[in-house]
Amino acid sequence: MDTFYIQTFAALHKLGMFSFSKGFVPWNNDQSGSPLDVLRWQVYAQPHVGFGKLNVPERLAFSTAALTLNEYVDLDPDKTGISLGTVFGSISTDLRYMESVESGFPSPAYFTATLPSSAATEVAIMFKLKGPDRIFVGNETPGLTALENALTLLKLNKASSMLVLLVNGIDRKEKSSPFITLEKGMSTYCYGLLLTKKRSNHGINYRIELSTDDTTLAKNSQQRTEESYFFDLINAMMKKRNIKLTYSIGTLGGSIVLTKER
Amino acid sequence: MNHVVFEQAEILTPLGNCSETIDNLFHGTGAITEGPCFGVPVAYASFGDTSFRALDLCAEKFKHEIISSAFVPEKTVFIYCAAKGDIRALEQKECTQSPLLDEQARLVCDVLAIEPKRIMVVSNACASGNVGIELASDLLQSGAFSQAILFSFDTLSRFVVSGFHALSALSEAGARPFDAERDGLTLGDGAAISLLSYRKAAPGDIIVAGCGSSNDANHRTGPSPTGEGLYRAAQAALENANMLSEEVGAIKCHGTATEFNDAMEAKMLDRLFKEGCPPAVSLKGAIGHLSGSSSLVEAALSCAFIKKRTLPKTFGFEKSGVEESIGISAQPQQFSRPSVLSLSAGFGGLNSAILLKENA
Repeated sequence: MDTFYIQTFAALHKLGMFSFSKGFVPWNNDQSGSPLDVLRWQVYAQPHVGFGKLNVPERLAFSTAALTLNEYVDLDPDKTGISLGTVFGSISTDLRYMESVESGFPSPAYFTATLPSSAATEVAIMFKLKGPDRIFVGNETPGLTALENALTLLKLNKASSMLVLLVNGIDRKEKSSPFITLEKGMSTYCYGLLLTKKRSNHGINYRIELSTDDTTLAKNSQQRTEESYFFDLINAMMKKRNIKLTYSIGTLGGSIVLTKER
Repeated sequence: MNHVVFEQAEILTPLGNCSETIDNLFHGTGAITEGPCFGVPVAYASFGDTSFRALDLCAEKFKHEIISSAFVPEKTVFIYCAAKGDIRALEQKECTQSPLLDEQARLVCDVLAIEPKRIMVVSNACASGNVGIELASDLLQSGAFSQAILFSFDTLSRFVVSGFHALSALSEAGARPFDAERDGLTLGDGAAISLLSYRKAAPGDIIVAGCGSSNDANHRTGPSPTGEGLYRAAQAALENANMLSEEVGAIKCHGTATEFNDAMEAKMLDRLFKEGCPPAVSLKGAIGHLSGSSSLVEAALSCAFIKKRTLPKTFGFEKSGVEESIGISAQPQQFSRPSVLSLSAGFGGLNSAILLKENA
């Protein structure tokens, strides 16, 4: 049986920033408490002239990737892929781009950011990650699908490490869009996990086991959001604890086990 | 030994369904027409019946094409592959169709009257179809599912045409892949559905022999000038198939007819096929670039090319406009080894290659 490890992690959450390298950092007083307000210097020590122009999912994904990969020295970028799950894709940018079309001056910058994949490719370009990328869009389980996919790619030796990102966020002004239901648009967050098939001398070496099991659905009458499971995973690793989560979301059920290796 | 078998496929292109498209390609009939397209002075390739730009109507057309008696919903994953999908709602405020891809995927399942065990949406820009095939192959080989239905849909819209025009990527007269006079791509309408399974392949079955993907990590819209990323994707597909480049029968290029894409693709092909390129074709001078649906459509057509052991001509190609000698031709080309390497590349440096092969 194959063994897989989480080596680093990070999250942008309404409470603040969580990461293996920096621990928990709350938002500053002059920040609104939303991950949308993350500043470049809070996550990335080097200049990034385009940071201010990134759309919401790009900014969240880049910032979380920077926190995740910060100080992790065992990375082989040529063999590192990205598995990204996103709830909305780039709906805010779609609406902004359409406004530019209607004004008679279509914006090429907005247009290229209308692809749901743009958040993943921004990360790939900035961190020179050249492995296989897959972008999953969906309401219920894009993050778990991305996590499952990353493990599959590692198992098949298609990558030596996989950066898993779960991104949800839309511009504040677009929350009134007819396309965005309250249920979907409630939270803004991004979670990042770096997975490997091998142990590392520089990572946390949390063993991860993911299984899907339809019988879980019947057992779990109380359904939770996908984000809540990701938060539990991050929280357990922050506290250096082992955890077993039994999840049940929509039509997907199963379990995730994290075990800290000594 | 089991293989991922390309069981069935149907497509809708500006040249018609699968058999109509193939007939037209081999009779030298292309679909690119003069603009304007949504008010933009560029050539385009449109469905004969533009009502199929509506996702529900398009899915309805496929309803009876693919779901055979062997379909087992509880063992099936449905994979919707699209760059943007149906975006009429963004343009027409009264349209009730959601622009959100997961809701579109559910709509397609409803129209097809299927309840698969799992629905996934993969959106890897213009490489979405190829990446969907690779994802399906991985899932089938892992044993999680025994069948995969892939559905791909991306059509012409004011949204997309205006965007590519703003990037100065569109040709006014029509795409001429790999030609000296090429000046940009031509967008088109496209949709495809296919059924893949994992089983012991019979002689003559088309199998997905290998898949590979990579990222250029270079630029948002431009490919790596050296073709490094697409080269690595193709190498990975060959290794995955346990094949050497000289065993490849033919190449279905990405071949958009932009200056940079064709130049990089020629470089990577020259590097990959050191002993000389096998016959190669780009379909985008005939049916246009079908965005996220292009690679699933072109994979289905590649299966037919393997059966015929012949590639159609590359429409729009007259005189080579790339430095390397690759197997592009203005005439149909026969090939002997029953396999096609199908290449695809998308914005953000997303590259994907799949190797389709007839089982001996």
